[in-house]
Amino acid sequence: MKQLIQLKINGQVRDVAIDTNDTLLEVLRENLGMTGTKEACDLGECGACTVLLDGRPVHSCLTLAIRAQGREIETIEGLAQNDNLHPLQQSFVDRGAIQCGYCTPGMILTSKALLDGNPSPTEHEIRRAISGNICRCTGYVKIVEAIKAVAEKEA
Amino acid sequence: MRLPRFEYSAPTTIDEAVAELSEYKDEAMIIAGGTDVIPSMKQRRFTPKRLVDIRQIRGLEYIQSNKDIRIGSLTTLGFIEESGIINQRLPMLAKAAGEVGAPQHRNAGTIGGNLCLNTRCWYFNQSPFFRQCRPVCYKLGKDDDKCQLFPTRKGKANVCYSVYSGDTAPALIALGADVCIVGPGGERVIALMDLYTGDGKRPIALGFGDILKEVIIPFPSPLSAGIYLKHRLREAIDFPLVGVAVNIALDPKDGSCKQLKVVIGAVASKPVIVAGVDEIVQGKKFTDQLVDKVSSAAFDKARPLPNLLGCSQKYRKNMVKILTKRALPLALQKLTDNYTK
Ligand SMILES: Cc1cc2nc3c(=O)[nH]c(=O)nc-3n(C[C@H](O)[C@H](O)[C@H](O)COP(=O)(O)OP(=O)(O)OC[C@H]3O[C@@H](n4cnc5c(N)ncnc54)[C@H](O)[C@@H]3O)c2cc1C
Ligand code: SF4
Repeated sequence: MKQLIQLKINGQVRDVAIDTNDTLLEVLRENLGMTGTKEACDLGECGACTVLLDGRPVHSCLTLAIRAQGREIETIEGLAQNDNLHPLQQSFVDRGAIQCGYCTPGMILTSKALLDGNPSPTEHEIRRAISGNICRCTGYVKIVEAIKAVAEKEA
Repeated sequence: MRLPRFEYSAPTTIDEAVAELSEYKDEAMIIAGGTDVIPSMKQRRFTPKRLVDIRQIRGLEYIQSNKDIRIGSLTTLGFIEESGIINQRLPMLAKAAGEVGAPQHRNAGTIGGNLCLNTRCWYFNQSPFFRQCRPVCYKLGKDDDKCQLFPTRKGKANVCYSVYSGDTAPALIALGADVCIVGPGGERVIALMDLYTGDGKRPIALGFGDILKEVIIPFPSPLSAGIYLKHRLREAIDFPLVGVAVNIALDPKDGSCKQLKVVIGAVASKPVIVAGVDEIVQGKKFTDQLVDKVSSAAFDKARPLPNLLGCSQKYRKNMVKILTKRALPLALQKLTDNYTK
């Protein structure tokens, strides 16, 4: 039987009817049509489905939607302000840090959480922060450069 | 893959949770961070009728330092990894917590879930699609089903050879940790090592209704230091192929060794304490020969089985020796650094 719950996504409260066995990933993509969050392995290995929960990166495929009530959920759709991309998004575009694009939303959210807590990370800290986000085009060098560029600009 | 259907409940007190778990017995399962429970349910290793979410229980998320250090079972690994107290007093634990999976697992995963982690093997931890090409194994099935690691073995009683792969347990056992468990009969405190049965089919010594409440770690003596080294295929995400924790305490009088603990992870269905290393080192100063002797003792004690993908059991056994050999000088270096500070 469906239950009505409220989720706070990118600052907006949304009503959704869910089953207890729905993951946050399924609710975002299927109930709300927010397909910016990607589904890949669906087993918490690849990081493509990363969203921020109370500011910290987690796998939305391992998060039960019912347990995300009352928490701040941030997805890739919440980053751009109108037509202006978030500095990290712009930097990824400018530096060719996007190839197939599948890892990008997760990668950008993970880097956002990093920079929010630590505005001038070392390269090692950047690499460690994104270690749970697999890029199968193996564009890591450009991804790290894109994150570093934002950190340097903001510093 | 969709999760199977289940009933969900979120008790807000530990007593309610114990009562519910006691009532539903093997039909209920605890979910804490869910980073192991959810993939296991997606892959139909378990299909509990009821999931009991213990994360809504208040007051199980803390790090306290009074007579000893106490960590509530719902404390996330990410919090432990970054905690000032833990980095200062138990750096080996901060390091071990930081070695689990990837940042996403550590942000959701709890210390309680990490200690109660189910055992793994290359058959058990596969998709149902993969598993269906073979018969159901002993752990997943009934008592007369065969272990798929040795499906043709005849005559012997069935054994499950799955491996316990938690990263914090070896470090915590080397630090002498206890755990407090709340169950239908009240509270009890046991040595962390006694949480592990060594039986791959039922690896965790908890009964129906038991909840791990907190981890209790004695303050390490000032002249002691520990190191946890983990070996895995990639530097992140992967479970350990082998993990080694060493903890050395020196005698303040003459700098000789007073106590040594070596604990190996991911080579058996429970963490393995290398017995007899105390006799090798007690009253002696650490030399290269002594380090060799201890590493050989660890090598002898480690009996990895062909239960993981990625490398041979022989390689894993050799890595036990190499990691021990690397860890001991690192721990000694840390002791000297602390002493001269
Ligand atoms: C891709 C991937 C990689 C991983 N890599 C590692 C790794 O390198 N090292 C590692 O150690 N782990 C690893 N894990 C496993 C897991 O993420 C961690 O062990 C985590 O700490 C589990 O905690 P949790 O709170 O999410 O547990 P849950 O999934 O909620 O629970 C795990 C088990 O413990 C039981 N349980 C939980 N809390 C309690 C309690 N308080 N009392 C009694 N029983 C309880 C549950 O019923 C369940 O059986 C990995 C997982 C994935 C998906
Ligand atoms: S080791 Fe255990 S889990 Fe793996 S196939 Fe054998 S019985 Fe099953």
